[in-house]
Amino acid sequence: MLTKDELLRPLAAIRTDEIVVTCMGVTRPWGKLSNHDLDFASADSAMGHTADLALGIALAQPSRRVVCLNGDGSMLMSLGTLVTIAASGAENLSLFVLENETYEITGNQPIPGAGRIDFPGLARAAGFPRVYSFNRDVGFEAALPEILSAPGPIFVGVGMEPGTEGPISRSAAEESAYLQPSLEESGRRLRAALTGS
Amino acid sequence: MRDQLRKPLPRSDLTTLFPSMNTIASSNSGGASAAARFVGLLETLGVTHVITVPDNTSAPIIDLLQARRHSGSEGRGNADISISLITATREGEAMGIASGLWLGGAKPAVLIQNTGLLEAGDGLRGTAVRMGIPLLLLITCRGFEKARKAGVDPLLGVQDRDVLVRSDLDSVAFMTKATLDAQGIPHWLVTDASDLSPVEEAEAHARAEMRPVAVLIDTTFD
Repeated sequence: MLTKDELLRPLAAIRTDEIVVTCMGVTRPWGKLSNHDLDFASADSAMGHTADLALGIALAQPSRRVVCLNGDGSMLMSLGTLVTIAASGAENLSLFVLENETYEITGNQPIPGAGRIDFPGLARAAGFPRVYSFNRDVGFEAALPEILSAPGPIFVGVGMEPGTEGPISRSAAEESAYLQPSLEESGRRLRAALTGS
Repeated sequence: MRDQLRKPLPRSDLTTLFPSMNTIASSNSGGASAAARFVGLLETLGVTHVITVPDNTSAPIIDLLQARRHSGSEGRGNADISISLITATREGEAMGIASGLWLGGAKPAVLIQNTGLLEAGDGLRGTAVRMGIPLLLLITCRGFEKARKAGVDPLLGVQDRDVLVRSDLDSVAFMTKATLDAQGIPHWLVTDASDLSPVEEAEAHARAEMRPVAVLIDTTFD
């Protein structure tokens, strides 16, 4: 299984102008590695709606790659979105599902079906044309350029070490710059960065 | 007039409030279906995407957009329709997709049944409402006609337990307005498919106040 550092550090190193959408347990860790106009935290929002939000961004911005870092509990909450994404033909969307098998933010209670769910298998069955699965960091870094450039939609299942992130706020108390504005303001800034207005 | 349901104004008042209505009405008066006029208005308003979970009332509109997606050349010249159709697996998902589209610079509208409004719940609150997105929610009204036939006004809400369990009523009809009010979403009412001015008014309000708005569609597009 990968640590958050093993997942996020190579991604931050290779990232250029991709839109990165985070949620839950990777929200703060990503903010410590990245301070970019095209980072967006699905925080103070609605659980289970990071992947569909990212799909909408991808459809509106077909010339840009959108990277969605979703949690496994969040993905379970909107499992049908795997089908919607696959059917959308959003070639520029790379959906990561980070499989720590717990609800980390609330204290690592196990998700339903922990240890038995085959997320990459679900993605294949939903119709994703390209599916990756990593349970160790072997090969992950080498695959990243393809994950960020090949025609998708792309699904990336990543077995993750359990984490210890607590609830996320949006306030000046947060260290990460992208967590300091309100959700509304963050959305306006992203739209402005993407449209110039 | 805002923040409350209202009946359509007389045409003479409409053309004063919305000069473009004359253009829209005249351009669509040559036998175009009610659904085609509705789609035409959405195009006029600049809508780029419609995200939907279909129902029987919205089906004629969705069929038009679907024909554009699949063939682009049948029916009434659907290749000319500029709006993209996205079918969601559930209405809460539609809210997330629509919100993402707006963040990406597009102008989405959501077309769902009032049952789907209830389903969307936190998906609506935590995305479009929380983000202050000027999202046009087009909501068909299951149970409204049935309620009127039974002599009960669906806009009065759940006045007593009976409306929740009577088999001759759809309980969702009595929860629709209250759900919008609870989410702080201003709403308008369309009761005649030939008068779509409430859609224009709602869309303008959404842009002015940067918030989602709803149009309750209490009519058919046959």
